[in-house]
Amino acid sequence: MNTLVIEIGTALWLGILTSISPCPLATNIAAISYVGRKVEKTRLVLMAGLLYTLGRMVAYSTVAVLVSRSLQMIPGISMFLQKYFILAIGPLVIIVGLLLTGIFSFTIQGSLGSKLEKHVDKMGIWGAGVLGLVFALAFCPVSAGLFFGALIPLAIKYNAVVFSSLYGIGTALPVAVFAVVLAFAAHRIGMVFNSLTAIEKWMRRSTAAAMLLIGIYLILRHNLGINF
Amino acid sequence: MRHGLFSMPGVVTLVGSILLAGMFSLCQSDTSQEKATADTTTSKQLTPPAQETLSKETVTDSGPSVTAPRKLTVYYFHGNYRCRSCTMIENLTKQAVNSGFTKELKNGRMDLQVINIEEPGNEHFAQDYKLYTKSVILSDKVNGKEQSWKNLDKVWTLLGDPDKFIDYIQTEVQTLL
Repeated sequence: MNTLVIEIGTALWLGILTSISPCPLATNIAAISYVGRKVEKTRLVLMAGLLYTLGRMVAYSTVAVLVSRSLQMIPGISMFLQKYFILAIGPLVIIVGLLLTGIFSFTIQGSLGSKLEKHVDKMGIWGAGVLGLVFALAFCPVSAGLFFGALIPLAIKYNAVVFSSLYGIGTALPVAVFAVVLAFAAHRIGMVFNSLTAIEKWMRRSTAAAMLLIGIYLILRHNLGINF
Repeated sequence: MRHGLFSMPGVVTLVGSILLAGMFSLCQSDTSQEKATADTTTSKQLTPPAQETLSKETVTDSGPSVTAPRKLTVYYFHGNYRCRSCTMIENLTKQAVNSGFTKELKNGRMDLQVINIEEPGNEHFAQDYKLYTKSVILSDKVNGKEQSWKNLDKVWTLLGDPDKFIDYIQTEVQTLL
C-alpha cells in the first residue's frame, strides 16, 4: 500500500519533471498564453486548463496502452513520435496564432457576428484540449526518456491508463497552474483599475503575438533544423 | 470566402474533439482487458530487469579469466538534434567515467564512445540497443563479442542531481568490471 502511494506520487513527479525541463519550454509558454488568455471570463480559463490537462492525459494513456501490449514497440513508437509529431507543432501553433489575431472575425458585424464569436469562443476552449494532446504526443528526448524509461515500467506494473494519466496531469500541472494564476491576477488588476476590456484586448493580442513567435521558432528549430 | 475560413477551424476542432472522445473511449474499454494482459506481459516482456540478471550472470560465468580480454564500453548515443538536457547527460557521463576509471581507460579495460546514430553506418545501434531516446548504454565485450548490455535508463530521472547521476553511472560501471 505504502509503495503504491509512493509510486503514484512518482508518476505525478515524473510528469512535473518533464514539464519543467528545458525541452518543452516553448510549447509550455504557448500553452500558458493560450489557456490563460480569457482573463475576462475566469471560468473559461479554468475549463481550458482542465481540457489542456485532459488532452495530455488522453495522449499519454493512448501511447501507454499501445506499448503495454508489446514493449517491443517502444523504440519504434518513440522514434516515430519524436521524428514526425515535432514537425506538426510549429504549423499548428502558427494557425492558432493567426486565428487569435482576429483577422478572420473582426469584419463580421451584427447578431451573426456575435453568434460566430461565441462559437469561436467555445471552439477555443476545446482548442486547449487539442493543444494538450498534440503537444504531449510531440515527444522530445527528455519526455521520451522519462515516459518510456521510467513511467512505462511503473504503468505496466499497475495500470497503464491510471499511471500515464497521472503523468499527464503532472506534465500539465505547471502550465495550468501558471496560466490560471496569471489570468486571475490579470482579472484582479482589471477589476481594480476598472479596465478589464483593455486588459482583455491586450491579452488577446499578446497571446496571438506569442503564439506566432513561438510557432516561427518551432518551425525554424524542428522543421528547418536550425539550432540556436 | 469568409465563411470558408470560419468553417475550417470549426472542422479542425470537430475532428480534434472526435479524436479526443474516440481515444478516451478506446482507453476506457482497454482498461479491463489491458489489466489482465499486463500481468502476463510483465514477466515475459519486461526487458530491463531481465537484462540486469543476464549481465550479472555473465559476469560470474566468465569469472576472472586472464586470457579473455574483456572490454567494457560506455556508449552515449545521440542524434543530430542536440538538446540541453542531452548534452548535460553526455557531459556528466564523461565526467563520471573520466574521473572514476582513469586506470581502466588507460589500460584498455574500458572505453567511452559518443556516437551519433543518425550518421550513416551508425543506424544499427538503434536496433541493437532498442534505443527510444538519447541513451547511455553499457556494453560488456569479450574478444570483441558482446556478452551483455544494459540501458542506464535512470539518467533522465537523475539529471537534476549531478552527484547522484555520477554515482549511478560509476556504480553501474563497477558491477561490470
